[in-house]
Amino acid sequence: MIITFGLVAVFFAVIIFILHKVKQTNDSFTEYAVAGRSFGAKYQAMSFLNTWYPGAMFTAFAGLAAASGVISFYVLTYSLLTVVLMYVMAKPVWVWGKAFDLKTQPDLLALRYNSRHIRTVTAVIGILSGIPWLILGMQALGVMFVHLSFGKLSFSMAVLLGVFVIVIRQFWTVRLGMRGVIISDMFQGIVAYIGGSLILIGLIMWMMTTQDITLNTMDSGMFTIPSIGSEQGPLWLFSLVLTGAIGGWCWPYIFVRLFTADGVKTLKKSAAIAMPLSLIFCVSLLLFGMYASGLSSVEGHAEDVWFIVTNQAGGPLLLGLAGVIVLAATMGHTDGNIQAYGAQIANDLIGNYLKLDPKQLIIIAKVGMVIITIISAWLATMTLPALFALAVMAYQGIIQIAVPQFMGLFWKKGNKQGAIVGMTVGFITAVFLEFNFPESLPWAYGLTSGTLALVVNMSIYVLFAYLLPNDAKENQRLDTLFNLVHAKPNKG
Amino acid sequence: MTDINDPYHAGSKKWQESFGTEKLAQRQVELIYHNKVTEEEKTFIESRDMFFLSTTNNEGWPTCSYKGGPVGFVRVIDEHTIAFPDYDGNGMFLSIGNMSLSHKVGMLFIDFENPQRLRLHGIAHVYEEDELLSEFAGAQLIIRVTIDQMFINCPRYIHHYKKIEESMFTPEKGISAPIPDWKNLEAIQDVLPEKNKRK
Repeated sequence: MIITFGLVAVFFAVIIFILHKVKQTNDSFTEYAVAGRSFGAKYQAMSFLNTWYPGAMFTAFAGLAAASGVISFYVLTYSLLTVVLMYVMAKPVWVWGKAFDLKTQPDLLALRYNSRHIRTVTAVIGILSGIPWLILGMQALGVMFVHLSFGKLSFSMAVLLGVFVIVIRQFWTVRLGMRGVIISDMFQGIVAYIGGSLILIGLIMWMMTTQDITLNTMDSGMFTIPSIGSEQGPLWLFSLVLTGAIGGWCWPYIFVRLFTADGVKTLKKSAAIAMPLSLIFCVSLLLFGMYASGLSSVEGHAEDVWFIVTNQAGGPLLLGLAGVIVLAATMGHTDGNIQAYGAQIANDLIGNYLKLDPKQLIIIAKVGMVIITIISAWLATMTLPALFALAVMAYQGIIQIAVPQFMGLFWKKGNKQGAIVGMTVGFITAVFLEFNFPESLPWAYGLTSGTLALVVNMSIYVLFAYLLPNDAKENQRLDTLFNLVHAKPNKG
Repeated sequence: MTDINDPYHAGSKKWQESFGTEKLAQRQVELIYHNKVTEEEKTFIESRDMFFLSTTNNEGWPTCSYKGGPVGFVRVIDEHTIAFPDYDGNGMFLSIGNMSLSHKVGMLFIDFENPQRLRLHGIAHVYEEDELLSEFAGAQLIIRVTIDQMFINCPRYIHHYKKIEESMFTPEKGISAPIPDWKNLEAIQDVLPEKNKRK
């Protein structure tokens, strides 16, 4: 226990040391919310990965691979597609962000649709949808601490410890805003995904060489995916990939990554850096899970596969490192999450109705972060049976932002009425369907609630675009907005 | 209006002659002087959040002021006309007053982050009632400028600056703008217009 907790303590101390060295460049809200749009490609790539892959990758997704095999590779497909989308969205989002000093995802929608109300709607959907995932992240640390204590800590005590670690960490998130998040993401990302990949590859080699596990020894059920005639329906896998890929950019803490870069080229370069890292990490993780299914110790404990195998292969030292990796991934995700919500509370909810100076905005953002942290921490210590269902429901709901977001970036005809009504009806439809038909809709060939709601959402959006076409002034405004994306700077 | 093909007066021509730049100056007339806004210039002007405005009073004294607002606060109405709002200021109405009398203005648009600039000379008119008033949050008057001549300028001496943050006083639709600190000074409370007084 001394070794495992000691390693976690050392890692935490290094993070605090790094954060202690971080200096903000000025006292503007732009600096606080998007780090003054100043980061290069490497920081951007690592920050994206650290926010994208939470600690739950090592539990939920490794567990899914161990329990169900290749179906788990859908996470790889949508993760890579998300990076491709970053490349596609980089230019309009960054150019508009820079020109109009946008700080949040609702800011972008408010600009595109010339509507303040859409800012509020998007922010409310974003914050409400994120809280269940924040709580799950904190609880995941509880699971980690149970393993690091070799079962000596009760789950409730371990969750309290996890919450304590996260809450302490938030002191710096609140104080430093986005710059602190991104700089710590670099170190956390290296530990979680580069260090993690190395350990995962090592463990795969260990299982292949010492445990004689190969792809041939695995159950044939590990290699099947749902298709025509399957229980889930032929479109189920498609739905998972689609919602995962487009849903990624609906999360405010992922989207804001597009505003923290110092240019469009940087964003595109960061996508190119993130792609191979993401590929290696995700493939290693999922293959690791599949190989680990051959170990008898993993049977019936798929979600604990990461801790079981590291302990079995390398004892307390490797288990301690496994804990550090999960903590690094969880912190990156949680910090980004809390920071984004603080910025949204200040900028999109209160700042949407009151003119505030940067100091006031920063104070409100800090108070918002503290409140979100306290509420999530409090809820994390409670037993909430419907939490996971709520989180899934939230995911199906938040992806409804995708329609006005993506369509708005590339299609001038979309208007605010279609965006607000489509997104709201889509959100309600998704929640209603998820509530009544959790997991998949048997009569919809495997489409998930969120995917079906996307169809409704998109239909409303397109219908409104043609029924209520933008007037000449709005078209002129949009022309200017879109021309800006393609304007070439004159270098004289 | 200026002859777009011969925009230089005797003063400029004398110095062009002294420095041997007459042909260079004339070539620039042929290449960059014009009086119709191109699509590229429209995008450039409408993506600015500030410009410098020079005006002259009834005795010919020039003054220059900085005008700032949200991105797009200067709008290209058609290829010969641009317009911009007048926001609450210090109450002196120097530029507005000058434009009401002499009408001639010079405008300088600069992009400090991707160094480039555009100069525009024109004839300005101030309107108290204008359909654009409702389109610019916080506008109290609208100025429409008929373009006399415009040309891009060499950006070599433009220092590279970075915008940190939009001014919190930038007018925004639906949100009342805060009152600047100096309008809270006791020394001016008795002469402030009603709308600027502390509530």
